This record gives sequence, structure tokens and C-alpha cells, in this order.
Amino acid sequence: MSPLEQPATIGLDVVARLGAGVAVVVATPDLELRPTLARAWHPRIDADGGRVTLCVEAPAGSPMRANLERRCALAATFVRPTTYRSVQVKGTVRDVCPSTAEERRAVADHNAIFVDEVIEVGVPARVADRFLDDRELLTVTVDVREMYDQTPGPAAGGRL
Amino acid sequence: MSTSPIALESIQRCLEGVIPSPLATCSADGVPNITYMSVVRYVDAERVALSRQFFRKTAANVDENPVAQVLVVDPDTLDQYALDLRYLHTETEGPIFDSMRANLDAVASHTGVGRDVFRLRGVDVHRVVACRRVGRDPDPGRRRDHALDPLRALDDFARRVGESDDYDAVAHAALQALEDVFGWPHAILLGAAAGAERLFGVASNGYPGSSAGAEVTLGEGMIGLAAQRRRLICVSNLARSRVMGSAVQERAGRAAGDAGAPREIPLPGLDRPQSAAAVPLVVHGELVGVLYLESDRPGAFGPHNERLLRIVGGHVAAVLAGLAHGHDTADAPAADPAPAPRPGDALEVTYYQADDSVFAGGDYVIKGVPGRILWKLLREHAADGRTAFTNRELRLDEGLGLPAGNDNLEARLVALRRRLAAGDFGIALERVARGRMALRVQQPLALSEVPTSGPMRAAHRR
Repeated sequence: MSPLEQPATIGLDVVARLGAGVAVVVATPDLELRPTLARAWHPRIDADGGRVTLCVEAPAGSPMRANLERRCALAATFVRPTTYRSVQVKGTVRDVCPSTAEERRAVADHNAIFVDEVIEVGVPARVADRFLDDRELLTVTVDVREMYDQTPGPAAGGRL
Repeated sequence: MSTSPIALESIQRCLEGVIPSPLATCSADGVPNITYMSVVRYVDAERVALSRQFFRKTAANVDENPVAQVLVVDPDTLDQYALDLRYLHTETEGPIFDSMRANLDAVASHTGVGRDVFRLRGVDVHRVVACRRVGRDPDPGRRRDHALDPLRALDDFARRVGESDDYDAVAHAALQALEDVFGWPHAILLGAAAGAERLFGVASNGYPGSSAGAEVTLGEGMIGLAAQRRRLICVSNLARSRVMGSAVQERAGRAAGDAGAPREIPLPGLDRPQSAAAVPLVVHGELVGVLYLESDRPGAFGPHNERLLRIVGGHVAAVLAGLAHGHDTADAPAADPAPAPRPGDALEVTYYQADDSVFAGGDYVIKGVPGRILWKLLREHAADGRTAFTNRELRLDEGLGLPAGNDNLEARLVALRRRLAAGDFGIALERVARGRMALRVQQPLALSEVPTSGPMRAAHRR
């Protein structure tokens, strides 16, 4: 079962329904409210709902790592490349720790499905695996407060 | 992660909209927001422009906290770069706005989504405070192909196009040279005439079907928009545009585009093109046609080769326009070398005044001005067996309704000639010399004309 297919109680199943090959990007602000972006992988919805756990690309010394370690606010978008269906969640970082070997294997599995998705929308197959940089991953759990429909169109930005 | 600063002009390939770019902003109370940008456009060495479409939260955040970060990706290598931005201002007119609006309108038209849905509300111009590489280190084994030498290629192209002296040969040479010199194997040349509401297919390369006789309405689709606005339009990732269009269409509750009217010859095209360019052919401010190119590769057309496309288009336009003037022969038609039609059943040819369409043996041939030309030739042939005609007499025949100035008669004749050849109707129009042609028919003709009582009636009183 895909980690995104687990149930949620506050509507996070909308994220699960996007499918297993989603593109995940997170943003966090620094203390001067300057945002920084990073790709994230292997999203999971906690059983009690209200929490999302991600493996975030956060190299040592990067603004992203510094922001996460001080438990900042976080936004995460989940976009399925072949449909453009998109959801954004916003919340606060609850826990941060280095990703385990098991999680890193799950990240690789996620990337394999993601690669198939992006090839379908025109990314060259010979380089499609290069979106992932798994050298320094942090596992980040987020308490989700808000969720938005980000699918392009007139309703984009509507709260879910 | 690399902390080395990167010059913006060195990553222009990332700024062509092939791969969507996530943009992060942050509200004054510290809540970040992410949205995906279709296009992050290079403005100059210090600035980029972002399209403002659906992004209410982004606009609100930028208003109260004018800093942002966007992640851009090189479509060939997938090298990634983070650009730290500071918002400067929003433009709702001017060249950057017009260019991005034309691109979005083309995407809307291509995907069948109304332009109101894809409406560009403004273009946000940002200063790039920092640009640095993120993600994986570059892979030297995965560099892009060796770049084209544009001067050498343009020289080759110009020489090949310049070797021919009639419209048909120039069209053929240009389309073939686009493939051989630039590696653009799928191209269509369309003609335009002064005041006309439609472009017409003249010649194509790289497709099994012919474009001759196909028509495109000004303002519709990439080709029609490029013609109407006299503006080059490149869409660098049509696959993504189609997906995005489907998503928008679904949300907007729109139906797909109409099924097309009868009596239409479809333009040839790739089943699933990945990128495309529509190059208006303009001479002295006058539209003489459109060159349409498409590719099965994303990013084949975009800002990196817009200048090249404009030069190619300008050269083709100038050569074709030069051929349209001063080449009419004033001589009497050449002696008729054509054999008489073989006896047998007559070929029924019907002309409909309402839209100047011609049907042969029940099959649609062509309509509009080429239809009127064909009908004139067939009538004169039926009357006295004449087969030799000149461009000059067509140009002087007021009944054909050719526009003053740019009538693009040569392009229309090429379209007609190629349509007749492709359709195998038993009628052919051959070029026998500069400004001269010969009509060939394989059977006796039985002509009938269907009058109209509609708005075209006055045009047929002669």
C-alpha cells in the first residue's frame, strides 16, 4: 500500500487521492521571513490525521535545515504531474530527525513512480531521476492547520 | 548544495517554462505559501518576470512582504537553481506583458480552454538577489548536445532558400532546410492575403498528410494568434499545457472545443507535439503568412531560439514577398501542349457560390479564393478546351476578388496545385514557366454551379 493511501480524519485523504507519484515541495521562512524551498519525498499521513510526515532535502548549512530545526511554519504542495491536481497544506514543524535507511528506501520507491509521471509530461527519461538529491534527508513531521486546493483554474487557492 | 553565485544569463535555459517552477512567498505573520509558475521569464541579467494568473495568496504575500524564492530547472540536465527574489513592480502592458499574454493565449487556445480562464492579470517583475545551484551536483556525462552555430546555420539556410525562383520551390527549399540545417523536421507554411480573415495552408514537411487547402482563422490557435498579433509565439511544453488545460477545464466545467465544420481540410500535425512555434511572416508591416514548427521534444522552441526564429521568418517572408511582385508574364499563354481528355464518363464538378467551394466527383476539393480560381479555370476549359493560363490574367480578373496589394496569388496557386495533387481528383494544375500554368483534366467535365441567395450573392453578379 502506498504511504499516501492511509486514512486521515481531517481531510488529508485528499492528498492521498492525488496518487503515489506526486511532486512534493516544501517552503519555510527564516527569521526575517525570507522563504526557502526544497523538494520532499515519501509523504505519509499520520493515523490520527492532522499530521503529515515527509523526507525533506535539507543539506547541512542550508537555510531549510536551519528553519526546520527551529520548528518553523511550513507549507507543502503535492502535485500530480500527469493531472496537475494539487493540494497545499500549511502547518508547523513538530519533529525533525535524520531519515532512516528504511525511509530512504521508501524515498527511492517514491522517486521511481515520480520519474514515470514526469516522463509522461515530457521530461527526458535519461535525466528524469535527477530531481531527487537524497544525500542529506531530514524526516519532518508537520502539524497541519490548513489545506488548500491548488489545482490551476478559477478555484485555485480555495480552502479544503 | 553549492553556495557559489551563478550568473542569471548562464541559466536562461531554465527560464523557458519547460519545467514548472515552484514559487515560495511568506505572509507578514510568517506563514509560507507555494504556487507553481508556468513561466519564469528572463528579463535581463538582474531581473525575471513571473506571470500573475490565479495566485491571489501569492499576490497578497508579495504586497506585504516583497521577498520570494523560485526553484528553476534546466530541462536538459535537470540541474536546479534557487533564485532569491525581491518584488519590484507589476506590469499590465508593454513588451514583456504582451509576450507572456500571447504565450498564455496560445496555450488556452491550444488546450481548448477559454482565454478568460487563462487570463494574464499582470506580470510581476522581480530583482534576482541571489542565484545558486541546489540539488545534485552537475553530471558531466549528461551535458546537452553541442549548440548550433547560428551564423553558420543562417548562412546555409539563406543560401538554400535563395537558390529558387518560384514560390513553390522556395517553400519546398525553406521547409527542407529547416529540417536539414536546424533540425526542425515538422513544419507548415501558411499564406495570408491583405484583409483576409483566414490563413491557408501552402506546404508542409514532415507529415504524411498535406496542408494544402487547410485554413486557419486569424486569432484562433497558436497560428491564428501569431498572425493576428504579428508576434512570434513559442510554447515550450505542450504536454504540460495539455495536462494543465485539462485540469483547468475540468474545474471550470468547460466542454472540449467544437468538432470542426464540414468542408474543412485539417492541418497536419504530430499526435502529441511537445513544443511548438508560430512565426508570423511580415514584410513592411504586412502579414504574408505564418511558419509553424512543432517538435516531439519539449523545449525545442523557446526564448533560447526566438531571435533565430524571427530571423528565419523574416528571411522567408522577404523572399516570398519578392517573388510575388514583378514575375507576371505579359505574354500570351503558351501553346497548349496538353492532350485532350480521355473519352469516358464525365467528371462532375460542382461549385457553391455560398463559400466558393468546389467538389469533384462528390469530394470536397477547396474553397475560398482558390476555389474561385479553380472554378474560373474549369469553366474556361469547359467552354473552349483552353488549358494554358497566366498569373497575370488571374490577377487582372476582378471577378476573382483578389485583394489589392498583397494578394498572395502565388501562394494560393501553390496551395491549389498541391491540393489537387494530394486529392487525386483527376484534375491537375502544373507550373510550366514563371507566371504560367497548365490545367490538366483526365476526363470530360460536367460543371454545375449552385447559386446562393445569401450574403455572397452580390459577389457573384458579373
